[in-house]
This record gives sequence, C-alpha cells and structure tokens, in this order.
Amino acid sequence: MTTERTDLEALQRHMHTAVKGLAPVHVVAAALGVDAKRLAIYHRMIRHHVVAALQTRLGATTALLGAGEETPAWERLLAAYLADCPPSHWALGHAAGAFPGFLAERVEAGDATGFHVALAELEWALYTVNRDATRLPPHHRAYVEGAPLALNPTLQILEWPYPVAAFLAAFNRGEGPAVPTAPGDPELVLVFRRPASGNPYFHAATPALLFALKMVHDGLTVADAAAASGQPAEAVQAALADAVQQGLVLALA
Amino acid sequence: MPGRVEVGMSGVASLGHGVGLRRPHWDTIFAEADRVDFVEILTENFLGEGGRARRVLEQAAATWPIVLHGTALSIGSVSPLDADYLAGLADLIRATGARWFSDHLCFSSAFGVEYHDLLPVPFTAEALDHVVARVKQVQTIANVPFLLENPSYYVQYAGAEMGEAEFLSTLCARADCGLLLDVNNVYVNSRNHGYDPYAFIDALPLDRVLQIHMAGHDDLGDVIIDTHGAACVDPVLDLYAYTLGRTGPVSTLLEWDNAIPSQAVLLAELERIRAVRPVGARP
Ligand SMILES: [Fe+2]
Repeated sequence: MTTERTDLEALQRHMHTAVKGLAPVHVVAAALGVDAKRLAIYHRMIRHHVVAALQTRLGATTALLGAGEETPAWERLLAAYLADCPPSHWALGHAAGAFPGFLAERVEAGDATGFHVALAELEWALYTVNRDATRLPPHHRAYVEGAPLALNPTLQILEWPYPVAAFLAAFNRGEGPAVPTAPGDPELVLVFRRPASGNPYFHAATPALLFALKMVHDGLTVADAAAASGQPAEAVQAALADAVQQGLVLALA
Repeated sequence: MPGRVEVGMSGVASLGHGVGLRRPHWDTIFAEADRVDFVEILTENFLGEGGRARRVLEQAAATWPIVLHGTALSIGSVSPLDADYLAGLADLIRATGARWFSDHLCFSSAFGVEYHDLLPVPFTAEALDHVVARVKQVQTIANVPFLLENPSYYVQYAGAEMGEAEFLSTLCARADCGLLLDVNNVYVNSRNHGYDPYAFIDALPLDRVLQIHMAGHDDLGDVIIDTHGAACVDPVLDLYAYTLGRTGPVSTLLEWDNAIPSQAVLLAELERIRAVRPVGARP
C-alpha cells in the first residue's frame, strides 16, 4: 500500500481544510482554482449538518444553551464543538454523540452546568436506545403468570443528581420547566424502547419497578421474592405486571 | 402498479415510479401502497436500526420492490472504505431483497471525518483509477447491481483531464457498474456551470441507467442549491422526457428530503412525473 501523497489526496486535503474551517475559504479556493463563494457553500452545509444533528438529537439541552436564539454563548460553544469533535461516524445523529462529554469538560469554566450535562446524557441515551438494533424476543402483551420473564434488552438504567426525567418530560410538553441549579439526591432513570410502539421512552424509576427489575435480573420466583422482601405474593405480582405493562420486563411467549 | 414489464435500453425491467420512504409518511404510506410502484430506502436511515424503523422497513419490503440508496459510502475518498458500513449495507441488501444499491460519485468522508455531504471528485485519470478499484471492491458485498449517481456539485476543480460525462462513461465501463441518473442534478449542474444539459445526456452511457432520480431544488439566482425540498421544475420534466426518449422505460424515483410535504402532495408530484411521456427531440 502506497503512502505517498498524491494529487487526489492533496485535493482532498485542501477540501478538508476548507470545509472544516481550518483555513480561510478564499485561500483554499485559490489553491484549488475554484470559486471561493461556491466553495463556501460546502463549508456552510457541512456546519449546518452538525448543528441540525445537535438540535434534533439534543433538542432540550441545546435550547437551554441558547441554540434557538443563536446567543453569543451558544455560538462560542458550537464553534469549539465543531473544532474539537468532528463527526467520525456515517450516521448523522452520531455527530451529536460527543456533546455530553464535551459539555462535561466545560462545566469548570462555567460554559455549562452539571444539569446541562445530565440532560444531554439523557437525550443521547434516548437516541441510542432508539437506534439499538437489538431485536426483542417474542413476548406477550401483558403479564402472564408462569411465563418466563426477561428484562427488556434495550433497557438502560442511568443515575443523575438532578430530576432530569421530570424536566425533559415537562420540556417536551412545552411547559418551560425551571432549570435546577444545584445537584440534589441521586435519581435513577429508566430509558428503554417500548415493545408495543418500538419508540424510545424514559421515566424516573420507582422502588416498585426497581424491585421488579431486580427480581427478574436475579431470576427469583414470586415466592422467593415475596419471602426475601417480606411482601405478599400479590404485591410482587402487581409490581411485575406493572413492569410488563410498561415494557421494562418481557413475559416471553 | 405497472400493468406489464417494461424494459428499456439497459435490459433491466423498469420498476415503475417510486418515492423515498420518509419518516413523516411511515404511518400513512401503506394505506396508499398501490399509488407507488417501488420504494427507495436511504441506507443510513435504516442501517443498524432496531425499533420502529426496522418494523417499517420489513413492512415496506413485504409491500414493494426495494432499492437502497446511500450517501456515506464515500467512493471517491482517499481514506479506506468503512468495513463496518459495508457489512451493514450487505445485511440490509439481503434483509430487504434490494434490487440494487447505489451511492454518489463523490467523497463524503476523509481523514477520519464524516462530512455528511457530497464533495465532488476531480475528473482526472488518477481519480478514475481510484474510483474504479473501489467500485469493484463494493461490488463484492452483494450479488445485485451497484449504481453510482451523478451528484450535483458547486465547484469545478482546475486541472480536469476529461469531462464529467466521459468520466462517468469510462467509470461505468471499466467497473461494470450501473448509473443512477439524477436528471435534476444534470439540470442544476448545467445551470451552475453553464453547459448544455441535453448534450450532457447524449454523452452519457444511457444503456447503464437502471434508475432515474427526479427532485426539486432551490434557485438562489446566482447559484442553484440541490435541496430536494420542492416540486420538480418544468425544465427538469422536459429533460426527463428527452432522457426517456433515449433510454426507454427506466425506474424513476421522486426524492423529497427537505420541507417534506404531505403525502397527498408527494403522491400528486409522483403522478406528475408518471404522466411525462418520452419525446424524441429537445424542446
Ligand atoms: Fe439524487
């Protein structure tokens, strides 16, 4: 395999430099013998694709950071993101994947808060759950006593010291919820793909749901779980039925 | 649905008139399945997807003939082809029973960065050798035809050693691949770079055309941007009629990717394209 620099490679290096904004467009245009205004179209379009990916996949986070109004703070953040985290995956949505980590590194400098990071992580988790190619095994629509149980293979259990699930749900309803400023008690959030619709879903975990998930994870019978937790068997079954109803646990066919 | 099998000069039966399968129409398009003869799947919208996308894909494959169309292959890039992408593409071709798969004559990634856009390759002998070798590599992943599309482009590099039509002709012959002829792109390029679109069509290897793309664009006055965000303009329909006069029946697909309209508008536009009759001479 040859590693020598070819004309084709030199041309693509020039284009790369221009579209990534690593050199002024007119300089690259002169080197390539192309029209600078036309070359600038590519720079704009390629930048636009990343911005669109951020605003689509991380809609709540980017809105809080001023993307809608294109505030100076947002533009600074965006410029740094475009420079530091160029897309490296063929899926356009992945162009937003480095943003939560990028924000986390900017908390100390005051460009983002821990809440922004948490919200970005939740929104990104929803994207990955939606894309998850895992196929769900054949299952019943509702809890069936005696049917083998399995955790929804798309389930992610995530923890943040902010009420991000409640915030995002309210944001998605268009309510303009208050933004938490300081961390509080840790909260577990369940992110998964709903078996019935195939759509991603999230909500804050409740003790009953966590109990059902642990029971299925550990392969306990209703009787064992009831004995271990000191609850009546009916309560255990109700927790399981709720988890199956929500699609967190699958009653295998 | 086409009443009978129609074969143009490519020797491959036309699938008729189709549309791209776009998310806003997922819930409704199947109810009007008989208004669409075949469906084009954007590879990147379904590759590696579970959930809803996968279900829609399976339903589509059970309803219509499927063709796959990608934007991320980056056939002209000096960086190696993405092996994971190719493996996923091969799976998708198998899973959908795709009649063929296509991408653009361009580079859409290089040096580890994805542009998510189609950057033109220079029309040089070196680029031609490079693309031919890579097309041959891509053709090994499946036993259905691979088509390259003539993209729209906004810059013309200095130092071209041949014209675009000659580049495409030689490429198709040497790599033994098909051509996805985007008639709107021909029109857009002819306006942006000042050439005769009819002479360009005449110079193409029309026996290699297995599929045609039709789309709308955004005319900004000093430049036309290929947005796929509007209805086809009349000059593009005229050029399509002329092309059909040369090729005979060819599978024709309406692309509408931005400002995606209602299904009613989309299907009405498809009917407008379906009504175009081949003509023997330029208007
Ligand atoms: Fe096209």
